[in-house]
Amino acid sequence: MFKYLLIWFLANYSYENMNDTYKSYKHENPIREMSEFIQHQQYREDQLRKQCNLQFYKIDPQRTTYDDIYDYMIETIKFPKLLLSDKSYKTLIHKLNYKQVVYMDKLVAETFESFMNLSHNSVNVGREIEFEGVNYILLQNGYRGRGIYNYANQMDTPLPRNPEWTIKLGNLSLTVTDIKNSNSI
Amino acid sequence: MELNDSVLVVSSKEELIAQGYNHMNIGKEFIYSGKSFILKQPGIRAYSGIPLAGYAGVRATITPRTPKWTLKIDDLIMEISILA
Repeated sequence: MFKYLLIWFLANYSYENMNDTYKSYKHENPIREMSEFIQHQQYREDQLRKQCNLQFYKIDPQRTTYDDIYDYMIETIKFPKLLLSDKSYKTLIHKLNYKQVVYMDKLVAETFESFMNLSHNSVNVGREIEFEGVNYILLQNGYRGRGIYNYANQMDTPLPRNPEWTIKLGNLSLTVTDIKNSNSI
Repeated sequence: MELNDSVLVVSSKEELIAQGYNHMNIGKEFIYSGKSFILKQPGIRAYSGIPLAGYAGVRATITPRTPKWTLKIDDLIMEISILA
């Protein structure tokens, strides 16, 4: 009698165990979910890179605990010196998390070379540059090609491109993708 | 608009833009409000599709594009991609 009872118990236990294993395999698959999530994130990142024309833009590495400790040590050393300085407020404004003030003055280029140099500076994106009586608003800064893409450590170098400007001539709004000086051709 | 083979004078912005979509105008010079525009590449207007062209899976589509102009101001030669 006891033997049959034991067999019944073991059979029931095995069935329950197998049933639970099948259910967890069917409904809970964390590795597959994780894999799908990573694939989705990679696709999203590729699309963003394509949309924003990020090319080979490399993100900054995340801060480590070592970086925080290092900054804390530096600030601890610098802070008393800062308080004693008569111009301390200039540095303290930054410390108090005020936004940096950027003056949107109109830039004036005297020569074609200086105009192109201003247009290749990413800081000037959105600013107005006056050159030979025409006001150009820089839409996209240019990159000058260096012609070296052979080594792995140079793969993050952005591809060369022309700056883009917008100008207004009367009732025309023009998007300019390239400017050449006929004197230098 | 004057009927001239080499230089065409247009009176409105809309007329200038419309001329940019005519492939016969490649290389022609247009004068509008005293400025000289040369058509470098004609534009292609957006169409919904070409009826009865190709099979369902590989039906031909036309990618629209804006005309490309060359504008000369004094010594500067500019390439214009969008004229609005």
